[in-house]
Amino acid sequence: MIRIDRSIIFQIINFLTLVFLLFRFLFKPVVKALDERSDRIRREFEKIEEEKKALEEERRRLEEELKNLKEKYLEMLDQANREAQKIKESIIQEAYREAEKIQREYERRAKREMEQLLLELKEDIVDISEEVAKRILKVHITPEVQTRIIEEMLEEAVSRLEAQLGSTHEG
Amino acid sequence: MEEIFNPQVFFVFLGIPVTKTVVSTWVVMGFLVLFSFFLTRRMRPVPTRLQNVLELFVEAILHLVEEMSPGNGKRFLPLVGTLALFIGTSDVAGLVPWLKSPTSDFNTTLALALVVFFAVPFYGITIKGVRNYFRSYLSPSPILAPFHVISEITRTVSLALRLFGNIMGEEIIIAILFLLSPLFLPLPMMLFSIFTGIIQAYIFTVLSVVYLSAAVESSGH
Repeated sequence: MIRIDRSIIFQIINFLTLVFLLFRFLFKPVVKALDERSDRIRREFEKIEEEKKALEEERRRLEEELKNLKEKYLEMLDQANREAQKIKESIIQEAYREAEKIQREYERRAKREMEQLLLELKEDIVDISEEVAKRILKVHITPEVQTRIIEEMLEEAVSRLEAQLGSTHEG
Repeated sequence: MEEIFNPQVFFVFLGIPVTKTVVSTWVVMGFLVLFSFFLTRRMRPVPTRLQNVLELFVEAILHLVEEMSPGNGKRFLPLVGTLALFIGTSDVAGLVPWLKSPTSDFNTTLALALVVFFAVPFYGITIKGVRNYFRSYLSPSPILAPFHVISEITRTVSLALRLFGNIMGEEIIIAILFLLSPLFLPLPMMLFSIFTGIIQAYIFTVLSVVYLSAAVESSGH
């Protein structure tokens, strides 16, 4: 039933030939195509990985830059605050100085006006006193008594006025 | 029916008979080579449907080999892939009018088994070296060396007989059914033979990979 003949030699040669032909026309090109595709995919992955790495690097750099800018901004803000404080203080000092100057000027002016008033008042009192004295003395006082009385009255009036001026000035 | 066991001799070439089996083998070879040539003539980066099928087949063979013998996928691919394609195509070639399944002839299956038989030491020596390869015959004990040789011969014969028996059996059944009723009756069996033909191709291929991977194993058995 089972017969082995010399055609087995043909079959071995046939099969080995087929191995060679299929290697040449089938397996080699297909494996090449598969390898090329794998290479292409691997290269794409590597490229994506590199781009990812570059983006990560860029992100880190930008974050660092942002951090530096923030620090710089805070520093500038601090400096501006300090300068503003300085300006504010100098303005306040200047205002105080100006206010003192104005106050001094007004005081000086008030004093001068007061002295003027005092002088005018003194003159008025002298005139009134002289008139009063004249009228009284016309009746019954000697000229010596009259002069002494006038002087006493004048001194008293001046001292009162000065006391009054002093209290006004303090107030 | 007689032709199943004694294929018709067309002519004799250098004293070797050219039987119907040999001619059918040439037809199968021609079909496979032309099919491969036209399909792989213009491989596209984005594969077409047929290119996809080819790539799927090649990847399946590579995966099968790599699972059993890591790193040897591309080395074994031409032999293992050709075995799978040739046996699968030969098994169903008998369904084509006039053609005879080359694998229903014991000379063909024995030829395939002999190729595997000689491929085992070829790859074993290529990868491991002569000393390391033949040392495996002395493992675990030198007394077992003859048994290793006997085992290799018997598994080769069993490989040939299994494939031959299955395919010849199918052809006999189809022939008997054809004799009983030429119309429709053999059809289910013919469809079934496609399925069993592919299964047998798979079994032959897997066993070949097992023998090859055992021969190139780096550590001792």
